[in-house]
Amino acid sequence: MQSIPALLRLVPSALLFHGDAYRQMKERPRPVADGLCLLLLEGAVLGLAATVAAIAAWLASPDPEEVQRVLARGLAALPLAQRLPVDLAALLQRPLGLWALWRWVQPAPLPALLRLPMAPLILLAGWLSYGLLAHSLARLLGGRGRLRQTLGCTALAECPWLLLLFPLQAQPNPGTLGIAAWVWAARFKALRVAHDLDGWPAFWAALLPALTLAAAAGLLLLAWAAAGCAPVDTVSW
Amino acid sequence: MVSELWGALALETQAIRRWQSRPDALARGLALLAAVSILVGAGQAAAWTSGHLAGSPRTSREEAVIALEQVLSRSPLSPDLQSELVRNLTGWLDLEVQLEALPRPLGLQGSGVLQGLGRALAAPYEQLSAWLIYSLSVFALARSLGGRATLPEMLAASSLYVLPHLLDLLAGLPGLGPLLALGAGVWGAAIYIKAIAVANDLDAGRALVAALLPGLVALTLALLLLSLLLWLVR
Repeated sequence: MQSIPALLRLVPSALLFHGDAYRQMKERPRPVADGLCLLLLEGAVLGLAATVAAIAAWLASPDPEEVQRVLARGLAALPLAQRLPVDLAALLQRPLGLWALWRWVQPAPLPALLRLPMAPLILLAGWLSYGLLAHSLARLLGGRGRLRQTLGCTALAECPWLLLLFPLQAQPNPGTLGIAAWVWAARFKALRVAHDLDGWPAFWAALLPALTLAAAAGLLLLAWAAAGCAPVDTVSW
Repeated sequence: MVSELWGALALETQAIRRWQSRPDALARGLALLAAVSILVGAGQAAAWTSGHLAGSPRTSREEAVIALEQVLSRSPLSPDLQSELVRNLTGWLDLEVQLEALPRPLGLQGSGVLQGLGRALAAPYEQLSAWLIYSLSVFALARSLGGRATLPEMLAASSLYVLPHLLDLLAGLPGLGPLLALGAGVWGAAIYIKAIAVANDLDAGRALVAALLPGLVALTLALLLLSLLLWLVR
């Protein structure tokens, strides 16, 4: 593994979609190990930032039980809710999985510490699943890169997530979508360089795995939402 | 650099071309976007925090209800449905006021300041999000229409649209504010379309299609969703 400072020097150029940064990563002797090292560093820093953000959000937020009580009463009083075939007030006052999910999104300080190991794990899982899918597709579309080159270059393409160090908001916000779009554009560049692909094949090789993973994540969220409407004692977390 | 920015405000082709052909054009474009959105976002967050600390949410609530009543009065919706929509909004805003009043570990003042800071920090990300997602769609469309810009060139050129949005700092001015914000939006859109044309060497018609089609698609989807919601309420 080459020195970490040399690896970190590639990050600003990779952020700005400079092909040279991805080419240097591709030509490293151990791009997967270097990419893994980069992602672990990035995940550690992001985990720390996410923990601080969650604690700040907890300090500025009311007690979830109080919120549940006010929401149950207020939502049930809306004319729209009175058209529903269920008694919304009674439903919302029960210990739903939805509230457990909300506590997971905005945790108290101690559970917030879980974000320290979770951030690198989520980053690694996303990188590996995307990298493997994108590599297969890039090869199908005429790419000539090796798997280790794809993984090295796509690890470098994850660096825009570092921009999430600054917001003091624990919950996902619209800005996160912009960073995701930036990561996607960097992955497009990474695949183009790793596989010597033309623009359109690289575009599809970058887009289709992202859509597949987004659809899978959407299905998972739907399953969570469905579980969130059930009483918490019937949901296994 | 100042002459290029000034030229871009006047929709000058050469100024936009010089801006996008610099080797560090994308870095400069991102810096410009961040600077304007931090400035405007910090101003708006400061106004929100001071209003929040002074306890003005009820005033903005009444303004929102009046605005909805005015919009609905010009719509083809039946008076019953209009009244129900207004009662829903009033109920929702009441709920928001009750949630705002709940106690927090930092206290209402401290949490107001922290939320204001969060808003100020989130502003550049929201601006970046809207611009980048839209510009990536426009980039794909422009390339399929024969455009020749690389991704960094296209992003660098299109970032110039943010310049007139410095006027958004004055959006809070009573009377003139909304007009200035509207003017900034139109001016920014004109710079954006010109930048697409210049960066991609496209004629005006193709640049217009590339720049507006993603927006029209998004608007159509939003209107379909709204119609579906209204149909469900009815």
